[in-house]
Amino acid sequence: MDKQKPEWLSIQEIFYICLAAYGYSLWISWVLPDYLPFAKAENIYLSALLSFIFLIFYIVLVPCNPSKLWQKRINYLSYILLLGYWIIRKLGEH
Amino acid sequence: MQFRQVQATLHSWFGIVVLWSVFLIFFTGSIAYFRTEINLWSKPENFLYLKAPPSSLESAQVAYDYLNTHAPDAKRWRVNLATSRMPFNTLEWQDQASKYHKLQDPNTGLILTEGRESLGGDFFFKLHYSLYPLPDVVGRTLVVIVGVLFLIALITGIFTHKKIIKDFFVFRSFKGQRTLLDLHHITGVVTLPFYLIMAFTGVMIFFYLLMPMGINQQYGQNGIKKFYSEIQYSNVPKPAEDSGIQLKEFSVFSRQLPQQGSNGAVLEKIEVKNPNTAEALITFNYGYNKLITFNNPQFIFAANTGQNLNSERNLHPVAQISSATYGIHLGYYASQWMRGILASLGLVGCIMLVAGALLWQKKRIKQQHTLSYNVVAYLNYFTFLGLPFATAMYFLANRILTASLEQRIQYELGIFFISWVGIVFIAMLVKMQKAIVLAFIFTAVILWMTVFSPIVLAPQTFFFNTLRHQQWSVAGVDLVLMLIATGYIFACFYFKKIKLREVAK
Repeated sequence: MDKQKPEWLSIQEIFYICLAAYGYSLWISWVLPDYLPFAKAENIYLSALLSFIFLIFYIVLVPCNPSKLWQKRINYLSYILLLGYWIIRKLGEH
Repeated sequence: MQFRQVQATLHSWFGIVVLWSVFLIFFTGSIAYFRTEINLWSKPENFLYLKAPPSSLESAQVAYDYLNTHAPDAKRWRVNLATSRMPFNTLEWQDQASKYHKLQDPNTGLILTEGRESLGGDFFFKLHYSLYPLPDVVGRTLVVIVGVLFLIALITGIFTHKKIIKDFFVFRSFKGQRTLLDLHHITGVVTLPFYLIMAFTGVMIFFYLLMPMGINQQYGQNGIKKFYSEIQYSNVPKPAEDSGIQLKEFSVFSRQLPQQGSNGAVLEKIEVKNPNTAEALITFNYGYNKLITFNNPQFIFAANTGQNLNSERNLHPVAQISSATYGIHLGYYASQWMRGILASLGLVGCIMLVAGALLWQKKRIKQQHTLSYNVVAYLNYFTFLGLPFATAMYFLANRILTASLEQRIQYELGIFFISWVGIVFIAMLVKMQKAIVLAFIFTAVILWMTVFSPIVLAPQTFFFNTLRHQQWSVAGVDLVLMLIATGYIFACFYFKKIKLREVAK
């Protein structure tokens, strides 16, 4: 069951949303250069630009989600994604 | 919570978290638009040599000859050529032992040694982007984090104050909270495009600090230099392998250079890498006149053969966006008037921040005895009145500290930071309202003292003399300081009037 949504958006909630947004952006800027079609430097810059735009949209839009539970789930997903990708890369190195 | 309520909450939180740092960044950034003029103003001993500079190629010849004689084994030379803004050549070179920075009269080739040591306007530039004297990486990272949060505060602010265009035409004076809200709206609308662009480009300049994974992944841990080389040039010039080690005479290069670049700009910078070695490269950069990217006309030669190496800029759209973030943010394209407009927008934005902070305080006036309210009140005082006061003290220190003082720069910086922290004691010793009035008056008096102190200390550098000799760059700095001092006196009267009306109610 989804918890009833409190009216107040606390600074802690905002902090966790920012952290998750950063996690997603970091992941995008890390992964995307491998899939963009341009030269290496351009791919890196474009992926950083896109991930930065994503970061802003995430922070502006996610707090508007009426379900606090879903907010948390979406936030946690970023940590899992980042950690999972890091582990896979580390395993791939060996 | 409604969408707009969420945006208002985000706007309040992000606004209050980054408010003071954003004020510092924009205040110092606005000053930094005129750092060249302030650099000149901060060395009054050099005013004697202020003359119209020769043509840029002649200035370049003088600088090149000097460096080839006095720093033949340096790793790199950099020369900013004399212009109407800065009529001296600025020579920088680096050898195994240390870095050197000297001013040169482009008419005679004389190195100006008697100028006092001072960071001048460069201090504000460094404070703006790296919170100098914090370690460079730490400062830049903090600035870029503040930039991101500020950008979010701006975007959420657009949703929060949704009737901004309608509200732009409303100003209700002497109405307490409403006045602050109207002021926040008006200044916010005027500066919104400027702040959006500056925050966005500022963050993108240092994107590698915020999102380092891409570069680390593709280029390795120290790949930033390689990344920038590739995003700037599609073909990085390399000298011929069989070249000698002696640099060619300057005329070999100047014969191949046009008087003006394709954008109408003249030669502004020379850089020589590895002079007097087989890898020596010489780069001639023309000005950024009318260009918002960093694609200024540029000529690169093998310095030992004089062969034009025809560098190719990276003209890919993504590379152009990267280049434009620098160009737009640094404002090298701007004329003197445009520079003035950009600096004014920065300062008007500072008023928006002050109005926003005071609005936050007014809304919570019932909590005025709580710790958080008092912390915010002191931080407001420390930043909004303390920083301009410390800046005024820094300018005064430049004038009153003796020119021959050892470690003079450290004293100037010491005075800046001590007076900044020191102003908080005024707020602790007297009531806040009185402390505000005192800060206004002190800042104005110090600015007047800065302008008039040369009457006693060095009459030839006094404002009237520089004005009479048409030394506009330095006279302009004094004039602006006087204008700001007068503005402070008016602000003081306005503040007292507001308080009197509040008491009458």
